[in-house]
Amino acid sequence: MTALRRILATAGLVIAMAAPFGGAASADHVRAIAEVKVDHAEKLEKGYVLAVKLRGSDGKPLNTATVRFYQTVEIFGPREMLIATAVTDGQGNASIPYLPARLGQHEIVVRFPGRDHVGAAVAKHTFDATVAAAPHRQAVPPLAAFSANVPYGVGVVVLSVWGLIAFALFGTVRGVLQGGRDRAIRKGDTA
Amino acid sequence: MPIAFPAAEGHVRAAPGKARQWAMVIDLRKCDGCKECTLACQTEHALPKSFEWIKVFEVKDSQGGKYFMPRPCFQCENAPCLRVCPTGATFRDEEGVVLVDQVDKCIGCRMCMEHPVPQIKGTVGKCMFCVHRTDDGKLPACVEACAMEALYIGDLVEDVATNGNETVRLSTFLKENDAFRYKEDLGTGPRVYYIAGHGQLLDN
Amino acid sequence: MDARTRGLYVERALWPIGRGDRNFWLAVGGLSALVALGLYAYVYQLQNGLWVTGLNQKVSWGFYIINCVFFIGISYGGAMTGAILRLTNAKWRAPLTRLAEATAVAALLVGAVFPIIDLGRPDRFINVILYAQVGSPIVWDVVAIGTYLVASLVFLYLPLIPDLAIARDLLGSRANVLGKVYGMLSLGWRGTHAQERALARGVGILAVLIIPLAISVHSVLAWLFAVTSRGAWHSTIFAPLFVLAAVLSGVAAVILVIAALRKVYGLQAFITAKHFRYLSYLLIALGMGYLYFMISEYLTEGYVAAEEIAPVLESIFVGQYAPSFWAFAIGGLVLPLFIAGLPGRYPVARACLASILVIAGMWLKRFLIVVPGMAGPIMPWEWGRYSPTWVEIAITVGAAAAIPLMLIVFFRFFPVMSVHELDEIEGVEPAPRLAPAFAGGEE
Repeated sequence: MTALRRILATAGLVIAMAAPFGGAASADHVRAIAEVKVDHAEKLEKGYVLAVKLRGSDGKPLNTATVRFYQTVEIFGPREMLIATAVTDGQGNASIPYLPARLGQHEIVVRFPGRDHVGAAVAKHTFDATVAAAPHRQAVPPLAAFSANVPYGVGVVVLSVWGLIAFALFGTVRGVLQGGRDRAIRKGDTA
Repeated sequence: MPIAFPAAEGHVRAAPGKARQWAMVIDLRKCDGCKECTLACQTEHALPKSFEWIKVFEVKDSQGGKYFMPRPCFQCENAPCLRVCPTGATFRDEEGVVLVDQVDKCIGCRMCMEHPVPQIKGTVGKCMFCVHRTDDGKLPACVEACAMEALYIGDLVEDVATNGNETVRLSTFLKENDAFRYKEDLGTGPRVYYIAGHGQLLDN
Repeated sequence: MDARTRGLYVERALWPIGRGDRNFWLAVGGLSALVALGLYAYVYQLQNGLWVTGLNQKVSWGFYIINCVFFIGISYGGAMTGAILRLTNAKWRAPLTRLAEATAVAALLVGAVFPIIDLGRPDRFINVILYAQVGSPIVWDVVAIGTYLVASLVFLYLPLIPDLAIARDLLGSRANVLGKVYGMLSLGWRGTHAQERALARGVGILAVLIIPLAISVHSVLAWLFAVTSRGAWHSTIFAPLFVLAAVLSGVAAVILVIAALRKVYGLQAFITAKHFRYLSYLLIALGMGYLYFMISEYLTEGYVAAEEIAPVLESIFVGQYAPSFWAFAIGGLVLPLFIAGLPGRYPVARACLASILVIAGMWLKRFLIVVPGMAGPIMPWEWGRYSPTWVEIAITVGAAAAIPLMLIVFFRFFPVMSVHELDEIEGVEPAPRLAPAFAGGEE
C-alpha cells in the first residue's frame, strides 16, 4: 500500500457518444453506441475498472465485439496509448482492470472498429485518478550508502601519507641544517 | 545547467518542461537488419561511417537461423561507465539519459570504454537517445528512421512507449512479450529492452 | 674494508661526475636521437589525434597503457630493491641502492607520462584535478602515482645528502658551478651526530613508506582493469599479480642497470659476482611467485570457463595470441629461472641474460593482459583488432631510451654509489672535509 498513491476516490462520470457513420457506410447499417464507465476496483490499490457497454442504435446489445481501450497521452504529440483489448459478453459489456501510471486527469478512449452491418463507435471518458501505480524509481547501486563513505577513509590515509613524506623531507632538511651547527662533531672530522 | 552538445550543432539543453525517464524497446521480431537506424543516427550526429552509436549485429540463433540485434547505448541506471569517469564528464541528465560533456570536461582517457560503451573523437561520444530532439518533441532519429517500426522510445514515468505509429503501455507491452534486458545479470539496470522472437536466444 | 679500498670506492663513485669520454657522448647522442624520434611521433599524434595510432573503438587501450604499467613496474622494482635492502640491512647493498633508486625515479617519470600520452585531449588533463571524481580509478591513479613520485624523489635525495657533501669537498676544480649546487643541496652536512640522526630518521620513514606506496601504485593500476566489467580483467588476483610482476621486472631492470654501469664506470671491484648472485636469487624467488599467481589466475578462470572469459583464454592459449603467450611463459618466465638459478660460471652474464628475457616477457605479459582483454567480445559476436602503428612504436622506443639517458645524465652530476652508506655498514665514521682519499690517505 505504501507504494500506491491514494487520495480520495472520485466517482466516474459517464459520457457516451456515438461515432458518426463512416463515409462508405450503407443504409442498412446499425449504428453502434458505446458507453464508458470508470469505477474503483474492489480492492482500492488495484486501481480502476474500465467498463464499456456496447449496443446498437436499435437498442440491442452487441455481443462478442472486440473493443480497444486507449488512454490519450502526450508523447511526441498527442497519441492514443493502447491499454487493452476486450470482447463484449452477451449483454454487450466488457471491462478491464486499469491501474494508471500516475495521478491526475486521464482520458480513456474506447474504440469499436465496427463489423458486418454495424458501424464503428468511439467513446471517451475523462476521470481524475486518485490511485496510481508506484512511480518509476531510479535503481540505486548496491552498497551505495557504504561506498559513499569510503573516500573519506581513503582520504585520511592519503593525507597521512602526504604528511609523513613531508615530515621525512622537511624534518630531515631541518635536522641536517640545525645539526650542522652542532658542537658535537664526530671523530674524524677535520674541521 | 544548460549543456551544449557538439553533435547537435550547438543545441543548448533547456530544462525540460515535463519529467520524463526515457527508455527504449527494440522488437527483434520486426528488425530486418536494414541499418536505417544507424544511417539516420550518423546523419543526425554528423558521425563518420565507423561510428555506430546504434549498431546492428547479425546474430546466429540456436536453430541455425539468424536475426538482427540493434544496440544503442543502454543508458544503464547503474552505469559503470559513469562511475569510472575521472572528471564527471559522463553524467546522467534529469531524464535518465547518460551523456558525455565533450565540450568542456572529457579528457579522452577512454576508461568508460572499458565498459560496454562508446567511441573516440579526441573525446568520447555516445548514443544520447537524441535528447536534443526529444526536448523539442521529436522522436529520436533512429526511431523515426525505422521503417519496420521495431524501435520504441518510451517514458517510464508515464509508462508509455511509441514507435512513432503505434503507442503502447510500456509495462504491459514488456510483460506480455517477455521482454528482457541484455546482460541484465551484470546489475547495471539497462533502460533498453528487447523483445525476442522464437528461437532467438540472445545470451550465447 | 681498508682505507685504500674505501679511497678507491670513493674515487669510482665520483668518477663519472663531469667526465665525458667519446662513449659517453655516443651514448647520449644515440639515446637522445631515439627520444627525439619518440617526441616527434608524439607531436605528430597531437596534431592528428589518436587516429594515427592503432587504437580503435573496440581496442581503445594498447601500447600506451601497456607501457605505463610496464615502466611503472620497473620503477617499482627499483624502489623495492632499494627499500628492502635497506630495511633488511643487507650488508652488500652499499654500491647498489643509489642505482636502484635512480632507476626507480627514471622509470617512473617515463611510466607516469604514458597515461597522458594516451589521452585523447591531453590539454584537458587538469580536469582530472579540477573536477576529480573520487570514484574513478583514473583519479586513484593520479593520486597514487603522484604520491609515489614525490616519495621516490625524496627517497633518492635524502641518502644523497652526505654524498653530495663528499662531492662538494672532494671534487674541487672539477666542479666549479656544480660545487655550489652541491653545497646548497648538501645542506651543510658535516656528519655530526644530530645530522646522522635526522637523516637516519628520514630515510627510515621513507624506506618503510615506499613499499606500501609502490604496492598501492601497482594495485591501483591493476584495479584500473579489474574493476571494469570485462570478464578477463574482473579478477581478484589482479592487484597482487600486478605487484609481483612489477617487482619481478623491476629487479630484472635493476640487474641490467647495475651490470651496465658497473662496466661503464669500472665498478667491478665493488659490485661483484656475489651481488649478481644475490640479485639472481631474488629474481628467481619472484619469478616462481609470479608463476604461481599466474597459474592460480588461469586455473580458476579457465576451469569455470565463463562465457565472457572462455574466448579470451582460448585466444591466449591456442588462438591468435598463443605465440606471444608461450614465448612469455616459457622464454620469459620459466627459462630465465633456470638460466639465473643454476650454479656455474658466468653468473653476471647469466643474470643479465635472464633479466633481459624476464623484462621482454613481462612486457609481453602486459600486452596479453591489455589487448586480448579488450579485443575479447563483450557482445559475443564482436572481436576487436589491434595492430600498433609506427607512432606507438616510436613513442615506446623513445620512452625506453629515455630511461638510460636520464640515468647517464643524472650520474654525470651525482655520485653513482653511496659512500655514506658504505661507511655506515663498514662502521667507518669519517666525514672527510679535505681527506686525501684519492691518495688513500689515513682516516
